[in-house]
Amino acid sequence: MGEKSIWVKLGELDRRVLYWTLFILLAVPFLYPLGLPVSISETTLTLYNYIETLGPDDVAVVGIQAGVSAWPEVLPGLVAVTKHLVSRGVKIIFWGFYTDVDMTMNAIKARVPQLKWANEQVGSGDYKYGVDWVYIGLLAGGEAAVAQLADDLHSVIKADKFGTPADQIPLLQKVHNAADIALVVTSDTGDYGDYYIRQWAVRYKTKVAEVGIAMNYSTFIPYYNAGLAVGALKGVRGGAEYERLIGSLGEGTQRMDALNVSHLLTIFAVLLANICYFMTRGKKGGGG
Amino acid sequence: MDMSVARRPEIFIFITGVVMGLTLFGYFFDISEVQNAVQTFQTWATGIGWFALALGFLTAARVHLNHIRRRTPGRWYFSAWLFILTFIVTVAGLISQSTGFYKWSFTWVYTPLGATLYATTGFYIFSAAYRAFRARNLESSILLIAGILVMLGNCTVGEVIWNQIPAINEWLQLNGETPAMRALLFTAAFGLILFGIRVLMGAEKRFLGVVEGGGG
Repeated sequence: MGEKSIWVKLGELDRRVLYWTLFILLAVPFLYPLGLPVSISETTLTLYNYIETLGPDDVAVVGIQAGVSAWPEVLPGLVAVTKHLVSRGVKIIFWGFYTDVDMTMNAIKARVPQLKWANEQVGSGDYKYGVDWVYIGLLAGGEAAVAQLADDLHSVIKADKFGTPADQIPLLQKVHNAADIALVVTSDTGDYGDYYIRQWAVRYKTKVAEVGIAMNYSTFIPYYNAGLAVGALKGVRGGAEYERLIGSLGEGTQRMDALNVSHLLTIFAVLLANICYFMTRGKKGGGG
Repeated sequence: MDMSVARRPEIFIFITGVVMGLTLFGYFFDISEVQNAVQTFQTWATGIGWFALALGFLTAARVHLNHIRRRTPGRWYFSAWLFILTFIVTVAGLISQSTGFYKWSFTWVYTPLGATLYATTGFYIFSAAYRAFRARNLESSILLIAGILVMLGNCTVGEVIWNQIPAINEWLQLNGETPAMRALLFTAAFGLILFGIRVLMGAEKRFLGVVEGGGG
């Protein structure tokens, strides 16, 4: 019985070798950052251009429907869009339908220092809690709740995260339904983007944008092409693009290096596996 | 009153039909009485959503209590551990959500575990791509080429290799992918409409736990 050829051996490579190769190569950009240029996608640019038209009289909703596990992909985009909204003076209402939404809100706030809680000192250019921004906390009820928020915000939101009644929060007094909201930024790992499109964009013509994981980009694009969405960020790349647009490079840009290495390695592995496949096809003991 | 009458599936089917019909009608027609009724239903649904969270916990608790009571081999100690942690985190959360153990557990246990779990999938995808992504025929070859182009377009190194990669990637995603996704979305939507019609007509009873031909 002859020895297996190199192609057969490569085609049957142990998965632990693959894991270690990826693990080691992912460490390289941390030691030697690549810093490659990022071009801007159309859907990122349209969102940026739309926010540029907003001002201090407008109110935006940031809906957090992605959990902590999705931070590597969605947080850079969420932070960059929030920074842009703040730079335009747009009022912001944060809420979320994901149980660890408090963690994400704290992470955004830590990265956008202008957002101040009620007990924090407010300086020039800062966002005063309750007036310029408010955090509602966790909501439940799925699409029914999203629909009801669109119809009558105050029937769902009785108080903010800290129990302050909605009628004592100046920002919430300005909004009653989806027609009062200039933009919904939905950050998803699931279907909430669809809910906002169906219940807010279709019924109230509210502008909706997706800042989700890259996989969600595919499901959201038909809405964008149909004119129902104002833009979409494609995972961490979308975040890196937005950071570049607002001139504030951050975690998205840093993580692009890891994305570059992992994608390149995957492409290389797939090509190598296919070469092995073609070299051994039809031969006894060949891969495939 | 005989309680068995109140449990008859016809009553639940009738309630579901009325709620569903009015909600559907209210989506397309702006009649104030209907809109008020729909908003009331939606508010109830939001409240029910909160109950669902509690129900989820109670259901999970029942399953795990059974494991503990039966000493299910290989499982019961994990169930016990779940209860211990649930108790500790609940008590910690009631004391303070912004300091102490509650904050520590979220910051240093929950967050890293979540990130690790998500990142681990990358290794599995990498390994799976190596083993399964083969150009066996024309269709899989097209898929392979498109996949590589989208991957190159999603990372910035693609445009360093060739400056037209982002344009190709954008075309593939905006124009190539949209018809397929649209087809999926429409299929799912029509399926949902048909499901709704079946519910409205009383032909769909599985959501009540009633299985045709079987014991409910």
